[in-house]
Amino acid sequence: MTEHAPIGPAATDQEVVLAARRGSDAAYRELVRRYERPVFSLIYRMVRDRELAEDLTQETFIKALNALASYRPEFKFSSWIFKIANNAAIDQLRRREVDTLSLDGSPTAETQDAVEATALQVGSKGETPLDELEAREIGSAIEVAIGKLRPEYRSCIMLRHVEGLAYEEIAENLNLPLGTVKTYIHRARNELRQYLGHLKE
Amino acid sequence: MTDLTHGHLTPEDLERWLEGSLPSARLVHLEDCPDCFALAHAERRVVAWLGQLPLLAPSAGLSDRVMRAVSVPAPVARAPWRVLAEPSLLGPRWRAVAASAALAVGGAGLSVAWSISHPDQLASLMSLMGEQAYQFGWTGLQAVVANLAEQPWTGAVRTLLASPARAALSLGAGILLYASGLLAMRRLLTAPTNGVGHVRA
Repeated sequence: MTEHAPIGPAATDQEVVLAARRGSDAAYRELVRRYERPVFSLIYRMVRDRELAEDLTQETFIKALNALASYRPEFKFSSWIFKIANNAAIDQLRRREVDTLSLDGSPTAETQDAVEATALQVGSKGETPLDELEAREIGSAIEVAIGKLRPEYRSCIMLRHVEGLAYEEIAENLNLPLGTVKTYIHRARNELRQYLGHLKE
Repeated sequence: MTDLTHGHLTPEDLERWLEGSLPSARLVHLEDCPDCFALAHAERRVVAWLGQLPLLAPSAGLSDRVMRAVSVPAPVARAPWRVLAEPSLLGPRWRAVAASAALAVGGAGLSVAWSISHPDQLASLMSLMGEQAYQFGWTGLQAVVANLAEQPWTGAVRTLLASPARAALSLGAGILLYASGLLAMRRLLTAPTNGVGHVRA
């Protein structure tokens, strides 16, 4: 009898991983579905290039899913995959200097569709056009400010405040002492405060 | 002893304040010190903005692209009992159901085995149980009939059932009354649709 664990929104990550290890194609896809946005968001905000972020996200998932046998279920799957994603982004940043932010689409896009496809969508929760514009402006300003941070500050602040990891998990992910992580996050918030001081609440 | 109401907030204090666990002595300082107050509120604003950053979506089809490069292990052949015994595959409710079923099947099996090996004892036990059930049923029936006969409406029922024609008439009237009641209930329980707005898809 071939048996796969029940895969659905209610299943824990550990259950989905267990099913994937037993050869469930659906379980692999469920893991991608659950983490494609968080992983892509983290990588994009690290490398600031949509096309590159797409490639690195794909690379992250391929690496993680092909190494599922080495994943230890006593740790959170999210921490594990964020660690792989962050390493991929940091490696890329070390290899080449990528620090351009394309809020209005990739500069290499040749058609209007390509421009829209590569544009970064931020701040779309406004109730009125004015609210939406303000939210978009704040969102854009924050994205720009994050882009100005040093990569190590950037990954710490993203993991802490966007992905919601605990300090200890960030330290474990980035192989940094806990005190260093706290210092990085404190400094990153300091810098963000200065960059964003002009924005109204 | 250090006076906690003096001295500006440290990064640790700010972190505690953001988490809502700043000691009251430090809170007093925060309220009294304009610099710390401004700093703390600016920090909270930055953290709130970071928390509102949207998750970004990669382009469609990531799952398919990833799956083309992932080696999914062949589905594992597993015996049904091993699948049921796997604790992490089944939720607590299913484990309880499986345990109850196993208990019921086990109990039935033991009962059958005992019956086959002790036919004489089984026969005498069945005979005893049959007598007891007969006695109990007969006594109960007598009690019910005696109770009914003493009810004040027994006379009216007897009158109604005095002839077959009256009995048929009473039965018809009863059925009609019951059906009317059902229709009335159905109408009452139907949700009104007038004036209900519809959400556009």
